[in-house]
Amino acid sequence: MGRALLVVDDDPDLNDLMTMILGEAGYQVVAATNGQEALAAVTRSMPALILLDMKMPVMGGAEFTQAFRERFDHLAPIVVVTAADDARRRAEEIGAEGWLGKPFNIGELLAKVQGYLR
Amino acid sequence: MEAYTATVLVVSIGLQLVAAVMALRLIRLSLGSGTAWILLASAMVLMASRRIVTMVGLVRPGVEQVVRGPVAETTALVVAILMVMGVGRIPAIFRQRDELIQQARALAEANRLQAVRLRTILDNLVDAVIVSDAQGMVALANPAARRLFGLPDNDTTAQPLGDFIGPYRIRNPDGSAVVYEELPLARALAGEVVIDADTIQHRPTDGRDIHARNAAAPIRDEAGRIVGAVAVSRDVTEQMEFERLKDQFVGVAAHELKTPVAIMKGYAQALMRTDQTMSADVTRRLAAIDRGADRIERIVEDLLMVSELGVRQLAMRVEPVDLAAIVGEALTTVSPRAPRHSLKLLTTMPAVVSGDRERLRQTMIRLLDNAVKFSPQGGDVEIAITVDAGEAVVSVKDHGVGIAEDRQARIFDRFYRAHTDTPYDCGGMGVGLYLAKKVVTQLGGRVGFESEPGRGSAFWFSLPVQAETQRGKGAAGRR
Repeated sequence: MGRALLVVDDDPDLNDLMTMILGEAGYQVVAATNGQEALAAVTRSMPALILLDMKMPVMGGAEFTQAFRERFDHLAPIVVVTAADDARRRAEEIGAEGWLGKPFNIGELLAKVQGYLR
Repeated sequence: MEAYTATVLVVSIGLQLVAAVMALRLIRLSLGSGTAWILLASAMVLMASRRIVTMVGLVRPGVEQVVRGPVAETTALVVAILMVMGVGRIPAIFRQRDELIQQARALAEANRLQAVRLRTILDNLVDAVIVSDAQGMVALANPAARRLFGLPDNDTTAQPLGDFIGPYRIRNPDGSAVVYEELPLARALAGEVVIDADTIQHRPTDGRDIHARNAAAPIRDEAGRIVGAVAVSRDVTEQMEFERLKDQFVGVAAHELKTPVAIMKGYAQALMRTDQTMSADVTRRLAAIDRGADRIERIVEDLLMVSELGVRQLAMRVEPVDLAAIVGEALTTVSPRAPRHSLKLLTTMPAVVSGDRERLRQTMIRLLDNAVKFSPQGGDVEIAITVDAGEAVVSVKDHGVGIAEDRQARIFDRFYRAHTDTPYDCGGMGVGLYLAKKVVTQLGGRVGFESEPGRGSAFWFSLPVQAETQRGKGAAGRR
């Protein structure tokens, strides 16, 4: 069956990059450019993991997380991928399962994803 | 009694006449003749005689006493003669008296002018001036001080200094409340000369927080006793707000740089990973892009930290951290970018401290990068971890260019670059050691170094080691 990964980032280049890297690593990837699109995506099909940017137009990462938790509880873990000063603190603030600071190494990204899918 | 009065009257008239005659003679002698002069002289004589009458009025009781006796006439005569002889000096005495009065008036006028001048200066100073007496009662507050504290203009009642603390919520820049003894004026009353003591206070009139920069000094009397104190305060709220905005801007700009760096770095790495058919040349070029992105990232991190420190203390995530592990990670990071150096871990042992893992790793990387950077000819960089007397010490020793003695004192200053304008200027923003010191001291540790120009430098930092029993509780520590 192999549930997909959801990549949520408003920067098209970064979104493409993550989609490409994860795709090449063998994952099925669904992309969204803001929280609202991401909510629509999870409603259609629950991903195995959500890689979530924080600062996005329309609906940011924090608002998405709140809405997602209210409707779906913890059906999929959320990894915050942010350029914020303290990615870990931001992740803890919104109750996300993991964090990854921008810029990241590809190795770090793949390791994080693998860790949550185990 | 009437006889006596009559006698005095006669004497006084006689004196007037004598005075008039003598004055006229004097005037004639000195001025020559002429109606105008005579008129002038007469006027003067009249004035003089009026004074003489006054004088006689003053001595009258004495004269009466004397002429009452048995040899009244003789005595009156003697008195009259003595007074006539004295009359010659009377104009001089009066002149002297007038001069003294003039001088006193001039002095009073000068004092008044001086007071007006000082008052005008005080009233129009941008800076607030507050004077207190030895007991700490406010004796003077100029309009700027009234503005700064939001005092009513007509309030002239003495107010104890201590009364200012409560309603104004005076506090230190770090937010801690200022106690009475810490007030600049109170410190000055205790004999201290205070310079650049910053306070933040609430202004009740408009509810604003005012950032004041204060100076204060004791006022002493001639014997050196403190009889009061004066404080001068400047409202630097706008200036501080501007600084804050500037730091905030640097922070935002640095943050904005992170996403493009992530894109550069990510695509360079992605290309290197996936396209195995690429030539070694292309791979090397991609690796250079990746390294360039890494360097921008480090600069961005530095800028973010410097801007954060401009606004507040560094946010710390304190937990038990093994320095040996931190050093290992830092070596893994730095070794690949120092191919001409040999990074050697000479001694190591477990050293668990309360610290922020990421910040300490950065600090270690900064020290290693510096050691590599300032030994451009390559060579050994020696690292040692030791634990002694409850303190873990990490040292990094290079055999590089060293630091000139006259530049050593400022080595930890923000933006200070010891090798500016020397052949060893290897670039950088001058914040690495500043940030390293900030991190370590905020965690309760110390930093230091020994350096010999031309021979190399050894930088070290130390942190208190955690006792075994305290392990696991560190996360509850300071932020």
